[in-house]
Amino acid sequence: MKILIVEDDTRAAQYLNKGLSESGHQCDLAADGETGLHLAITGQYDVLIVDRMMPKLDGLALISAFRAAGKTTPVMVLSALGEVDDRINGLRAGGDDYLVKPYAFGELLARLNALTRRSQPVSSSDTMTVADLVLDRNKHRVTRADQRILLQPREFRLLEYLMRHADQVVTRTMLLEQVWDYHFDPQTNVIEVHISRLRRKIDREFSLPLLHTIRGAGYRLGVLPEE
Amino acid sequence: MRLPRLFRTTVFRLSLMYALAFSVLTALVLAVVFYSTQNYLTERITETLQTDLATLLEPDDGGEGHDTRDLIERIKEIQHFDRSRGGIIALADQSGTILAGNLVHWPKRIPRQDGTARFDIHDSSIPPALRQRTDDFDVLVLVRALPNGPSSTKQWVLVGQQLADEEDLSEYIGNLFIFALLLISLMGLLGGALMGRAALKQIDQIRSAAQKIARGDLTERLPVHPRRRNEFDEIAIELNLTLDRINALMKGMREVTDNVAHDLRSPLNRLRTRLEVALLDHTQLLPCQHVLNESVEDLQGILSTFNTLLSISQAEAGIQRIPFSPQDLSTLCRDMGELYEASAEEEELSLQMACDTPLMIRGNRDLLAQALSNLLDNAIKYTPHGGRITLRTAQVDGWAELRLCDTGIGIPSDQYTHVFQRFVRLDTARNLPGNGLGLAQVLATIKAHQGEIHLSDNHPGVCLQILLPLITNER
Repeated sequence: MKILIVEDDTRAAQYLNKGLSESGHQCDLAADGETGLHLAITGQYDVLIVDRMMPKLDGLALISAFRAAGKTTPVMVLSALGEVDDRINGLRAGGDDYLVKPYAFGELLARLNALTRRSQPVSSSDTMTVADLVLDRNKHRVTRADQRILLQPREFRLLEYLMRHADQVVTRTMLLEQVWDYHFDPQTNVIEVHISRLRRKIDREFSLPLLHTIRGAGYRLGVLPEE
Repeated sequence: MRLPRLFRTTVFRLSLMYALAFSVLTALVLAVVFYSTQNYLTERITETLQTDLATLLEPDDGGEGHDTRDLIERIKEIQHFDRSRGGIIALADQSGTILAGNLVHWPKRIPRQDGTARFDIHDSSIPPALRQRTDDFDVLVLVRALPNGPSSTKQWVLVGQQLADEEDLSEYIGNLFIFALLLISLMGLLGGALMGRAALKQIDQIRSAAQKIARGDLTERLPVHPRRRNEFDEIAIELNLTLDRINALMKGMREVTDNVAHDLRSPLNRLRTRLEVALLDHTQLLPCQHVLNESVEDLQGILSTFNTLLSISQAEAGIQRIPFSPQDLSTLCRDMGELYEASAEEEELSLQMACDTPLMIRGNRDLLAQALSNLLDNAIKYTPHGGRITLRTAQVDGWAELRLCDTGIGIPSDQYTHVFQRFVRLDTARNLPGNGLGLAQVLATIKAHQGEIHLSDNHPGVCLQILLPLITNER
């Protein structure tokens, strides 16, 4: 992916650049809002990472101007922990996701992947398939190897989200936000418990595990690549 | 039994004491008036009696001595003209036998010697017909020995006056005193009650402000009247200055904590990113991969503590900045209950929910969810296997009530306020993971929502009650 990082904290930007490069992405850096907007409009990027507070042009103003120019490139807003409604303002200005500093790098990576995947046209099909696991949204039905798996409504939504983001790492906060629609920081493994219940239902009786825990990052649904 | 509050006020007591003091003073003044008037009256009557006696004994021919028969005649004359005045007159011999006059016999209490004396009107010596009134009063008499004749045949003249007027005077003064007493007491009571109420009103204002301060709102100030400046106002001004100082100190301390958290966050986060990025490099398996992974997790813990600390400060400081919208507390509870049901089941706990009544409150969904998550987290963490957690919502007098009870290790009642402070962990909880910020965050959130938190014993375990103001049907 080609990523534009607009961030005035140069050291933070460099670590970000290094980490994203290690993960196989290519980054451009801009240290203030004006330069960032210019690069964003003239260049071709898959995703923008924009800091909220910046000299010359504020992050939200940058996004508004960027959207006003007719650009649809997904934007990730970064912000120091600020007011509670920052997230809402960030999204209202045209941001696609919002991450509060300090964040785990894995979290950012997972969200960037989810963002770019989201921006690609989602198959309009009502059924989703990962290996031999099939989810039918219309019939509210899940099967694995043609065996019916009974899920509770919330488990169904959890699996649906995981399947939509198959082969991507999704973090616990992403799940809490997308499946439960809550934005807070649970102190314990409350999501982990739901995942292990789901895993029991879809994986236990089958030889090929599909729902994996990625240490320090989150979960991934899919067949592990053989290395 | 306790007196009503008004009667226990200092002002009221002072008023009563003043009323009492004034009553005693009035009584003294009236007593002086009474006795001097009585004295004066007695003197005047004595003078009259002396004149009467002198007239009686004055010899017609200007010679010496008295003729008894002549005297008896005169007495009869006087008696005749004096009927209506109630005067007493008598002539007796040495043995006390009445020779003339209107007495039945010589009064027993009156010695036969020169001088004045008093005795009761109801004395048997006074014939009832002579009495001016039937009530009780005295008779003042003047006794004089007649100088003629040998001592064995000495005669005694007695003239007297009924003192009904004096009795009237004492009755009048007595009534005056009772009236004055009633008036003073009434004024005292009324004045005391009025002033007491005024004082109570001010005390109540001060008290309600003090209660808010005690509940932790250090920005509240005691009311001070702009002009009056009485002793309560002076105390309030002093206390307000003290509160300003305390508030400034507390704020300063919080700011230091917040600044430390804030300033350490950036370098720690960079450290974490650096470690994470180093771990991303799959080409080389680092020899200390395991250590690095654990370090990243520890850093995550530290950063999360800092975040919580800062978000508590925000909830405390930025009450106006937090966006509030109508929320149904019951829906929120059901959602969070459902989120934690799996965790409870994992710990072999039963989580029972009764959150059916819609309870609309103004609030911030994410903050309330965080608070509920902290509470459910605690309940699950501190309740042993096989325990029970109940989550209920109800409407209580215009409040939305949330009750979360567990059968866990509980909280000693003397620690009920202590546990809501930052970084407080009870001894019983020290071996379990946690940063001691959960309940502080809950309290800050509930306060930002103008709500209340109460803890109580659940025998075993603890019951936590949260009250949040319901949205009233405003147009």
